[in-house]
Amino acid sequence: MVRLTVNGERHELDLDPRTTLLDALRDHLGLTGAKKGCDHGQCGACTVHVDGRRVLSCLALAVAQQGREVMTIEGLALGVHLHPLQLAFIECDALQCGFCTAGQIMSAAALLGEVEHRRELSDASIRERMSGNLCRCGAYPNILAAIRRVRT
Amino acid sequence: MSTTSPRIGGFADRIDARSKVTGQARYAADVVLPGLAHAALVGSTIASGRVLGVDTARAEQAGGVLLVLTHLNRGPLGDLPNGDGDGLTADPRPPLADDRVHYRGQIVAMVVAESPEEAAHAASLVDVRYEPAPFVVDIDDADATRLADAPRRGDCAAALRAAPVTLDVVYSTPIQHPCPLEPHAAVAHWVDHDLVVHDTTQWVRGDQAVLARAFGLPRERVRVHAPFVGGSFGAKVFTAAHVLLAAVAARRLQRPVKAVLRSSEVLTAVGPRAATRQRIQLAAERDGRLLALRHHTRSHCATDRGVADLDPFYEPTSGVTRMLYACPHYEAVHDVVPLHLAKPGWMRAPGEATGLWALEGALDELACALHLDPLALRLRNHSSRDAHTGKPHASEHLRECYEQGAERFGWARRDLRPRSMRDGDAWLGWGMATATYPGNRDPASVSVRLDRERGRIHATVSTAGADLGTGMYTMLAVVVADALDLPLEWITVELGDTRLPPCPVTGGSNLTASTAPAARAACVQLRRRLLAFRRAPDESADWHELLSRAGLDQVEAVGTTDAVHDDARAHHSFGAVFVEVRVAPELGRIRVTRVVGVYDVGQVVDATTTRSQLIGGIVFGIGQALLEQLVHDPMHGLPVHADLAGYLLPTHADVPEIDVDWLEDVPDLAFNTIGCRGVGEIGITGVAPAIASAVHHAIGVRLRDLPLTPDRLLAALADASARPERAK
Ligand code: FES
Ligand code: FES
Repeated sequence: MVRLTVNGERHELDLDPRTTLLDALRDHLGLTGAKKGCDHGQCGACTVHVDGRRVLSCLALAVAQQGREVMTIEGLALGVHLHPLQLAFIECDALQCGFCTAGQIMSAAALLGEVEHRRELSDASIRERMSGNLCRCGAYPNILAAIRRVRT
Repeated sequence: MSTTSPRIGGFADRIDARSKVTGQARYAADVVLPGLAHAALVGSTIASGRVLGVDTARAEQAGGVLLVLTHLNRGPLGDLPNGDGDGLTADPRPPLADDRVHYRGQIVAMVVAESPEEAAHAASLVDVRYEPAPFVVDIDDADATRLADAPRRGDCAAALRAAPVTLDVVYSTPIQHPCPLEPHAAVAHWVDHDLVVHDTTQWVRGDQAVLARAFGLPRERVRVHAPFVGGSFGAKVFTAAHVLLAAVAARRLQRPVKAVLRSSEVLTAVGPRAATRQRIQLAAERDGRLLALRHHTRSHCATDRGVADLDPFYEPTSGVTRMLYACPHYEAVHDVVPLHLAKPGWMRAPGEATGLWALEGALDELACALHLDPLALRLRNHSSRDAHTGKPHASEHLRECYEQGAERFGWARRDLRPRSMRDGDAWLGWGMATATYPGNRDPASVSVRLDRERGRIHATVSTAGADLGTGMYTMLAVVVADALDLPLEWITVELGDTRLPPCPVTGGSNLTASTAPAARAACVQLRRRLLAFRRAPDESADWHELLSRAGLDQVEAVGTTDAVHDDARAHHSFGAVFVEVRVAPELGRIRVTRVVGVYDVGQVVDATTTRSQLIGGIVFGIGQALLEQLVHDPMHGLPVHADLAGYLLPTHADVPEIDVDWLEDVPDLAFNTIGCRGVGEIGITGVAPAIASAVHHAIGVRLRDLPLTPDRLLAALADASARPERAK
């Protein structure tokens, strides 16, 4: 039995030890917001938070996450109130097909924490810090605008 | 929440955005059904030859394995259709049809197991013995076949001989891949004896036609869903082999089966944009007026004779070079080179993105040779008609695009001389190019239904077409909101389902141009029907009230659009794209630092999603120019980097501020009742040549082979300094 805490809820799962965190979330917990773009840590679509840090869930084994707090896009909003980044993504049209979107938002949410102590945050620095999250639709300028909107 | 109704051309919020930012939008691979089994594919490890035998014993004994399909036990499947309107497959032979192998990575077996882990493991245990045959994967190594279609006007050869100025250059493009972020995925299951498939596809009806033929079913017994598609860019037109095999396995097992491609499989087995070698010969007057243009393209196709005979899909580079500029003498020839690779397919602006790379590059060279401003050269050769057919453009505002783009960019300050702008260790350069894409429209129908609901009206708009991220949901909602004065919140749009009114493939930037007029036509019918119940002609239209007076809870109308048949006029979108690059010659590094694009796309339906589409197209152009290439190992015939760490896509850090705009009040009303042409593809066109021209302007080195990688730039710089007289 693998014990996972996801979005504040505890789960006990009977998992093949090879199961990645991403597959556990998607196939066993029905949390399909995190996407499998590459399954190799190359695209960022599967980004979730583990103990508050951004993690590529396709590269993490589910069994190794016991005792940690996992958060997915489904856990980001507070009830019906969207997270400011989610709102900003809508307002800035920071998405097209939406396949990268959960990963972009989770990555951006962690980024905001990473840079909290910094007074200045340049566009170049945001771009660099977001470059692990590919968007084939090319929503990058709007994603940057959305992050800027939240981190004014 | 606003309750005002948006207007055509305004900025609406994307109506499906909330479902996407919360992770609720369901894509094909997200579908989970009771008893779902998982498939894993086995790709050939030779590029050409035969399968001598497949030993499936170890795979079959592995834990959780339910089925191993090979060509020996796949069972009967009907022949597949391969014509427009009827669905398309990359290979007219059904998958696992026989023992022949045409490319490395071709599916030779599929394993189905209880879990994805078990399926993947068992797939590694399938032991395939081959008889390899010689193969070729390099377009420069193989013999070409000339296509019969060779458009021409005037006498190109004579004009090239006699002209005061000529230019003869070869531009190349590598194999590039649309590579949507969502890998191909399908879930197939049989309900009674009907087939239901959740697929990621640009064309649910295409899938339906292919599957119906394969399984000998009437079409209405095949249902295909694609409510959300994670990008496509041409990659999801063909009904792919794994979709058919998932349906075979699901029937055999009487369970739903999910097949998801790995990104290596997408890059190997899903057709890419064909490689091209394009020779451009130009003849011109000294003032820059074009006299002749000869365009000789070599592009690759599949080797499989069946495929080549039926449909030698080639990159249609000359479609754009023949029509764009006034030029009395023109000739295009096209050679195809069969290679042992997956059959090429479409990628955003097939033909335009590649053809303009060559043509616009050559024009920049001509401008340099004549000491002309590249923009002035374009204006000198501007054509207000399709230069080949002679048909006048119904609505053409390219000059205004040039003018406004140049103004926004500050083009007038450009010094003609290369190496005229330095910033620290780097050189800056400015380049520009023309963008264009044809207006396409296909037969489509859209239904609009009004329901009386809890004291107000609710509209449901439905059509089978898919939203690939293109903004279809929002566009249709805006059209209906505008036509019926409804707030967006009162409108639901249903897409991507074969049960909905018929709609063409989402491709060729056609879907808005096809469905928006149909949606409006449906609204016009509804208005007419309901307005008959007004008590006085000036009574304001309250649909809820009128519906109840009519004694109805619900009213529905279907609007249609037909195909374009305009013998008198041509329909094209245009644009002008301006680029600034920053080149670090020591590192060979090129960064795009600024892009301005101004477009004439007719009437914009929704500004938000149009802007995103144009920006997305430009980002694709940056990838085309600087990063993307699929290189095949000549020893083994496989891509040397079939993953997203090797096939480089533009990242956040590669993309600068992009300033896009479009001309207002230029509806192409001869094209459709709204006057809109599509915007999905024009954005990529012109970007790569503008970048290469900017690189030349920065450092005086001409690069003619995509992508413009550091090694190529460094080699060109070394070459130029070894032969300084050639470095202009
Ligand atoms: S799916 Fe995990 S990084 Fe791509
Ligand atoms: S929105 Fe499609 S990949 Fe980012």
